[in-house]
Amino acid sequence: MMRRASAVCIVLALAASASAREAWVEIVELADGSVYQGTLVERVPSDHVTIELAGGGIRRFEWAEIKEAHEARVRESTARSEVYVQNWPEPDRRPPVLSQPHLTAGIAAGIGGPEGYFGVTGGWEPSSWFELEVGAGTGGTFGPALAETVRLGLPLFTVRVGLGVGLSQNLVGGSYTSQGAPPIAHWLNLESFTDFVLGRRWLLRWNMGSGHLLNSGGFAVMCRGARAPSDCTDWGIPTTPSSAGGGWAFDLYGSVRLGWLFDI
Amino acid sequence: MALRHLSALAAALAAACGSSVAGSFQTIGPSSWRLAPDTCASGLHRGYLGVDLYRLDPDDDTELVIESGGVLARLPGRGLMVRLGTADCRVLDVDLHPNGVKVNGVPALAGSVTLDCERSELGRLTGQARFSCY
Repeated sequence: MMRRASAVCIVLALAASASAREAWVEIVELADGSVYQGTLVERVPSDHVTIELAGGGIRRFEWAEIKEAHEARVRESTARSEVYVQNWPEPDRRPPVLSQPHLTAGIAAGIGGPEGYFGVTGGWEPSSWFELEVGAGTGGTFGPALAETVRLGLPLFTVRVGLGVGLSQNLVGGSYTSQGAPPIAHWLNLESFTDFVLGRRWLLRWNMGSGHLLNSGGFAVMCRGARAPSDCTDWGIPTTPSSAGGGWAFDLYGSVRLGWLFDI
Repeated sequence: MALRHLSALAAALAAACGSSVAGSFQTIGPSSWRLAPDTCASGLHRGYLGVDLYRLDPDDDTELVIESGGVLARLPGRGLMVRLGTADCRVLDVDLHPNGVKVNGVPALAGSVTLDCERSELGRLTGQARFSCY
């Protein structure tokens, strides 16, 4: 234990006042500088030395780690001296990363529908299970987009899994709007995510989800204005308005985010 | 087979729920302090048979290491641990045993400790705790 902890024991003689009686003790010096004193229990040359410390504990030292072991005649009061351990490693008293409130900043990249997108994200995590995130990105068919997501997660040590729900707004390109599409497409996004905390600052997120177009009838219009006739069918999107909403779209996406955690 | 699966599931859940510790210690004397540990760690991760009790508080400087043969108590502000053994204690009751759960191959330790010990630089240390440490 002591060797692992790189501990250095200092044996201090206390209360050595008047006693003149002496006792034999075994003093073991280790290669790492630690010094132990106690009553010899066992000495097996080329194998190990075992002593009983003043505090009552039994210590066994492998021969290879011993620099020197010898008996010494000391006053009895010294033989029952106090034992201090220096440099015992401080425990990591910092709370788990995910239990602390954070602000996050990161970059994200992924695939939405048939095309890739990338962007930046910022988040507020007042607790380990709640996050409000705002992202901005571009790519894909519809151009620049904003997304606002609320996430609820279950932290398990340095991993967190959960679900998110949010809204996003895509600017619709001119080739669509010129054919009657609305200038902004509104989406409702549902997703699952898994966070991995790397060290105490980095957070790697993997999420997958689906987007549902909220524009009533809007996507049907957009599909009519698609660049290629196969766009809608390639994405599995009906090209005729449904009777309920006038039109709908369903878009699968996945992304990876690498974020930096700021304590708040 | 079902029992085996249930045992594995229970072990996984126990590990997922993390370590637990309940109790408190206090000293009266040259260094008066109180430790109500909220965290414990199995010493087997660091190569010794024991548990480390402390608080998850960067401003706290108290710590007790419980071993079968004695206790190490941190002297706050001095960067030193003092060893307490049977010769120093009116009561040194340590129960330390594997609880059947392994995390990454390292056995978890559970048990309890009751102390009433005295050392010149530490003062009188009393208290008790029950723990289950991973």
